[in-house]
Amino acid sequence: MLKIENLHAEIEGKKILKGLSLEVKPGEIHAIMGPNGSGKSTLASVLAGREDYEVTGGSITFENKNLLDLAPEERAAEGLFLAFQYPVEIPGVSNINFLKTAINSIRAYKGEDKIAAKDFLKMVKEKQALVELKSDLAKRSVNEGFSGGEKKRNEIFQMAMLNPKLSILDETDSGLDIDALRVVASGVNKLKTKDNATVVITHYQRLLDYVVPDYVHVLSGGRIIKTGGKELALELEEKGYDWVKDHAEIAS
Amino acid sequence: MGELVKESIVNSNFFSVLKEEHLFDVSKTQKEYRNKNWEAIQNLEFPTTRNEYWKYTRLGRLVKTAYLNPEKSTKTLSIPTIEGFDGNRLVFENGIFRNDLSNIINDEVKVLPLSQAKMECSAIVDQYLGKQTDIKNHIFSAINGYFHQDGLFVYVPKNKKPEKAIELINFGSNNSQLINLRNLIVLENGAEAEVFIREINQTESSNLFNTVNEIFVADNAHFKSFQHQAFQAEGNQIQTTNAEVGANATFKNWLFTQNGQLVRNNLNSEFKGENAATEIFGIYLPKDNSLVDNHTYIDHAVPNCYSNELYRGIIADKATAVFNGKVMVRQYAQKTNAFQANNNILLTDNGTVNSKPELEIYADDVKCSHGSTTGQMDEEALFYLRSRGVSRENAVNLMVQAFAHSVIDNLPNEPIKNYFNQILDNRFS
Repeated sequence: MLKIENLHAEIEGKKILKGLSLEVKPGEIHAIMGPNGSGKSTLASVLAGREDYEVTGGSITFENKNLLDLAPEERAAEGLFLAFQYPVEIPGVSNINFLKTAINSIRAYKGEDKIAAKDFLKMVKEKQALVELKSDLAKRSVNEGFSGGEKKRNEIFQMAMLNPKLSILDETDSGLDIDALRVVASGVNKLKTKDNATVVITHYQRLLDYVVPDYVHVLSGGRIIKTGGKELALELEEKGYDWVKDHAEIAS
Repeated sequence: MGELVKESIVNSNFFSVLKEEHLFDVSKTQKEYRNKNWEAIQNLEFPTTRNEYWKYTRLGRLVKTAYLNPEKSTKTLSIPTIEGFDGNRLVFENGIFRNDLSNIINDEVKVLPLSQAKMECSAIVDQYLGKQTDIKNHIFSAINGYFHQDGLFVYVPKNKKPEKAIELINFGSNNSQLINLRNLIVLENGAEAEVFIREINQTESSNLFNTVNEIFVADNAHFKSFQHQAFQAEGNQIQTTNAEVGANATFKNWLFTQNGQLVRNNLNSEFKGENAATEIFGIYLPKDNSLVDNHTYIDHAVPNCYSNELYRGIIADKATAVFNGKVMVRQYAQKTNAFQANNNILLTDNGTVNSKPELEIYADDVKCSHGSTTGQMDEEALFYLRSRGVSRENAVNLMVQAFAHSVIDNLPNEPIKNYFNQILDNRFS
């Protein structure tokens, strides 16, 4: 589904990703962990198509297409979804109107007709329940005045509405209390199928108690330095990132 | 050495082919008012950008044009109707009344062309015409005072309310005309009214609309006006609205400026009694090389009044927007609440905004706030919308519409609100 090979990326001349490779297949959950400044959010931004970042080497293939050739909206239409670490507040634009526009844009990209109003509303109701999002939040302006937890739930609500093939959750656990974390994680788990995939980017292990990964990758210095199963996350929690870094240096 | 004698502007190109139009003046007061305006013109000059009030709006081209008087016409006009809007309709072509296209419902409220009111309601006209308009300092008001032919006259007697809404259409056809529409609206104690003023300039007509609105809202009266300036790239307008608002009265104004080569709106509102409220809202969407300039002035001359002002602009291409909002809180105007906001979005790097809030406060127990913002589209928000599949163009439109809609969200007349929303949707979709 997603194949990243030897990716190099920089922002304002500062090299952040230095030869990152990763492959994600349908049905898998990958966790990418790493200390601050290791390039986790850069990876999410590059995948979603944020223009501030410049890709200077390597390739990204998504569903047999060169992802780097696509605009952010085309990537979304191809089935890529990024849950933002800091969801943006957009005063005046209603959540519902925005989602309807988004869904219809994606349908138009695929050559499908607009969604019927009735079907849309049914879907809103259903998906809202999934993330326990209060119904007035769906009608309000995008993220405006939402609490930290509500913003993250709204991300998962949008993910549920857009039904992507690949979801990237960028530090979705940051700023969440344990109850909100549980709700968000349960939403992610309910949306999981054998055909879609999830990449969870996180600093801490705690989200991984709820969203259990098939693979854990450690990102450091712009590269993946270690890959293991879910137990690697626990080991990291116990021994810290320096342990892997030292380990990796010895190995290389 | 002799004194340097400056040549009067009445000898300038602007006035070279204009003729006086005194057709409908009947009373001595009306005739005297014309003469006063002519005297004022002789003592004034066209403002330049050295004048603070005109600092960002250069009139050079306009005041060098030799404008023509409009003439009577009987031609067919294509005026877009507004779905669901039903009421009195007064149509003017180039400031001249078109009886054949108008529909006036007669009840206790007087709704007439001003020309007719000068004859039939001359006592009221004599009492109010020009009373709230400063011609000593404002050349365009004086020009209107001297050259106007017609306009809307509304008189709502005590505690009355017109059964139907009132719609005024001033349609500009032909070229290079000076169109001096003069509207006089008087609400007596406890009266209520709503007026929809539409000024439309035909495509490619290089007219100058010089409109003056005088509005008198007596104690306990409530007046709302909705104004639409539907100008293409060639139309010019200088509009002056002067309102006085009595005790416990309200005045609310919504002004929607679509475009225009040069549009300058002066809106002045003065409180005459306590516990009154003035709320003014504006949207302007200049594009190409247009300039839209809004100057507002709210005079808190008495205590315990409330004013609220929200103007928002979306500036495309190489257009320019000017906003100057002055709020005066006089020494005795304690317990004043005055709020003002002006927000602008620049869609390109080539647009210009000059925004200046001006609060002059001489009382010490007041609540006043003002804010002015000008910015480009929020790239972070655009990226967020795009990351969900919305194209950049649609994302811009969603955000721009939201920005502008908030100004008309509270517009209390549904058909007009829908009409304005539709214009926004058509422009940004």
